[in-house]
Amino acid sequence: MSEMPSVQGGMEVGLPRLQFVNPATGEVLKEIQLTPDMLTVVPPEAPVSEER
Amino acid sequence: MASGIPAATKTAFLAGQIDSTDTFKAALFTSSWSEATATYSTTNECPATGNYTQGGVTMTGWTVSTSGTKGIIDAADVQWANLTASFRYIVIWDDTNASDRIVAYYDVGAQSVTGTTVNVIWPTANDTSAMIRFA
Repeated sequence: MSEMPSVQGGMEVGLPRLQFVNPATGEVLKEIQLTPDMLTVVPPEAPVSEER
Repeated sequence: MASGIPAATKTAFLAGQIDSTDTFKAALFTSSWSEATATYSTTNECPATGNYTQGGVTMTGWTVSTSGTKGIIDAADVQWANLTASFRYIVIWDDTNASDRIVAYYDVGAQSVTGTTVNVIWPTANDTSAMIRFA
C-alpha cells in the first residue's frame, strides 16, 4: 500500500495595513503594513492606495 | 510579534460553532494581552476612554467565498475615529459564539495615538492574501 501524500496548508491569516489619519485634515500620518516577520512602516508621503 | 488564529478557533470552525452570519467585532488590546487567549474578555483591552468602546467595533461585510483552491473570508475595513489609546493587538472575535471565540489576532506593534483616526485595511480577498484562508 503506497503512502498517502502529505497535504500542506491549513488556516492562515492575511495581514492588514494600518493607516493613521489626522481626522481634522485627512492627512495620512503613518502607515504600517504588517508582514509575517516584521512591521514595515510606509512613509507618510507614499501614495495611499484605495485598492482592496 | 505574531498574528494568527487560536487552535481552539480552528476546532470551532470545524464544529460549525462559528458561522458567517454571526456578529464579529474588532477590538484593541494592550501589550499585556496574551496570544494564548482564545476567548474574548475585557482583560487587557483598551479602556473605554478616548473614543474607544470596549468590545470593539462591529464588523460589516463579512463574506465567505472560494478563491483558487481555498476558502476565504473577507470583511469591510475597520475604523476607530479620533482615537486616543495605546494598543498592540487587533483582535477579531465572534460575539454570537457562546464562548465569544477569538477568530484571529494581529500584532501591530506597540502603538500610541492621540486624537487620530485608525483605519485597518484588510488585504485583497484572494487565495494568497485574504484576511482568513482555509487551504
